[in-house]
Amino acid sequence: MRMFSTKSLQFALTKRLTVMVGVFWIAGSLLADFTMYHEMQEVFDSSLVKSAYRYAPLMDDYLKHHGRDTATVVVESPEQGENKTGDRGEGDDEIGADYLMYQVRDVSGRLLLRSANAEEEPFSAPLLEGFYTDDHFRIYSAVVKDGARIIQIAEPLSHRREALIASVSAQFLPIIVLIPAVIIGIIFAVRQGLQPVRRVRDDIEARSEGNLAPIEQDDAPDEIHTMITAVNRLMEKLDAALRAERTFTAHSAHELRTPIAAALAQTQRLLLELPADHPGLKRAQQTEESLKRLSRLSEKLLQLARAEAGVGTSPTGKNQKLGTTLGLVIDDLERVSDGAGRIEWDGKNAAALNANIDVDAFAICLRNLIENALKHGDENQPVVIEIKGSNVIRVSNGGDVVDPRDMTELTARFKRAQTKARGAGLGLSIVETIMQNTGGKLTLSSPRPDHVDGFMAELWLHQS
Amino acid sequence: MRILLVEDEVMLAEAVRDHLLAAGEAVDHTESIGDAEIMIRGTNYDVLLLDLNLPDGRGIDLLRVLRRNGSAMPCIILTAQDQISDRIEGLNAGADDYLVKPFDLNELSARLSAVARRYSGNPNPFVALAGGVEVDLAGRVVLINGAQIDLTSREWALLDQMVRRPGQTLSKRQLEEALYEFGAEIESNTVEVYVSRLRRKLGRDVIKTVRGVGYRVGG
Repeated sequence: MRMFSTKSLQFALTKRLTVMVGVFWIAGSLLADFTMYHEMQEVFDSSLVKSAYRYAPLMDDYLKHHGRDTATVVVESPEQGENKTGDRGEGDDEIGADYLMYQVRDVSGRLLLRSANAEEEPFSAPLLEGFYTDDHFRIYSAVVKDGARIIQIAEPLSHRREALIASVSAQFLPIIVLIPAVIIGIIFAVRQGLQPVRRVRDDIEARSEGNLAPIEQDDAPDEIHTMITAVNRLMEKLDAALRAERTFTAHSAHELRTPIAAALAQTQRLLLELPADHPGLKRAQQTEESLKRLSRLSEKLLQLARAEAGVGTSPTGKNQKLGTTLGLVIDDLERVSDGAGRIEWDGKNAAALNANIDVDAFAICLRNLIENALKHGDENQPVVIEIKGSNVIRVSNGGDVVDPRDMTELTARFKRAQTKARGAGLGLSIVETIMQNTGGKLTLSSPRPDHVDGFMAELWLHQS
Repeated sequence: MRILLVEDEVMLAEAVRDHLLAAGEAVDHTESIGDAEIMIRGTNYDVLLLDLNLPDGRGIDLLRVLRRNGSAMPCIILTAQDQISDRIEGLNAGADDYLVKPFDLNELSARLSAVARRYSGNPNPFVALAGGVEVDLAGRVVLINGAQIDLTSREWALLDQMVRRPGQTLSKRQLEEALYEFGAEIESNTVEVYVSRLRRKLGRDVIKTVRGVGYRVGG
């Protein structure tokens, strides 16, 4: 499964949507809380006013019966959490503390009556009709009996704060729990929404370099439809250009090889027909040698042109079996004089060999490595071909150790090792280019592993 | 052997033909598939040397038609198409071998001999005959008790034809086809003349006459 990348469109959309939903949610909640705060203030204030005027006749009556000179506790309020026994109504068995307190004063400010929870000290509110807020209380003063008596109902501000905090908490706690659920929902929705984009991405990612077939866009959203069309057009052009280049290379191969073949065959006939003492014999031999060299060079240049044209990956874009190709190349090279009896290969693991590489490109690589080993290796030691696993081929030979300073330059074009053997100096460069085209790797080592001499080339073929 | 060479590059075809003629093979040459089809219908060739890019089509299509019609004629493809996929296609179409241009003429001869040996059922190039005669088909050498005997191209062509099929009686017509290139004059007693010459060089017991049928070696 693909790792969750912080650079992905999905991550960006999820992040922005989550932040936006969060911000709007918080803003909405704050607005609601602000409104609720004002409504609560109104309700609490209304409660103070109503209490003042409802208590007024009761207090008046009480004062008539108990005299007017001393302040008296009227009713003991239950403590917070105290069980109210014998409650027959519905609701909580527990009731809270009595937050409201009152004082009744005469016009001179003298305290006539107070609730049990009120201080004896008068409230700080002036003896005028209306609300007053000090540091601790919200107070409403009701002037009754034509101004002769003032009832002051007070509520602790801490109670209001407590009520507000409880309300806000009750509103925010579920939100905190819901936020992860919302984020998961957003991720899921974004994933679903981006499914067509992901399909296009997977399609492009799954295909190899050689696969230039159009990307399917039937269910692609409008936003990327144009993009896919443009990419498909580009791939069509690229495919046409590569085809043209490959056709040109193939035709060039034919056009070059045929006249060289004719010239070489005619020269070889001339060599056979000339008498042994003919003065032109030496020139004919030189011509034959030059034609053979020209043939080898043209072959390498055509291989390089193919490699440069980007050949390499399997036309199907998938792994393919390479055992038959390996066998054909070895069989071919065993017939030439350099290779006769020198190639050591037991055919083990050949059937397992498979990789995402075009068989022609694979044959070019293998042929170059074996030819190099035959050409530059010790003639008295075999060229050993081994298959490791299902995608690694080793070609090793005996002979002198290559100078470490030369090793890095062996894959450069027209670079030859310090050897007497003739070569175009292109073989390893061609192999390296094809390996780069196909995502494979060529590694060279000298001396070969577990030996004190020789050279080993290792092809790590790319598997899809 | 009687060989059909289908090659449109005249310079190359001439060199190949001359080389094979010098080696005692009978070679017919054509530059097109159409002519090749007519010639194959009229003559029993021992080997077909086939170019792939021809003016009137692909050589591989001719080979496919031949194989579809049941022809077992050995075929070596001569082509400038050097890709392994071309080679696999050629071998899958029924070719016995595949030689990429430019090639060495001696390499061509070696491949021809190998293919012919494979078809004769005797892949061993060393054949021992009566009277201490030994024939190296690959090296084109004849020894009697270790001493090398010189043969002309046509003597060799006749002997080669019979040695490749030891114990099998070959008709005069079959031997004539091996001796002459297409269109050459054939005289009625030519085979007898060359058989007589071979008997003088190799001994009378090597080539046996099967009265009314033809000649054979071994068996």
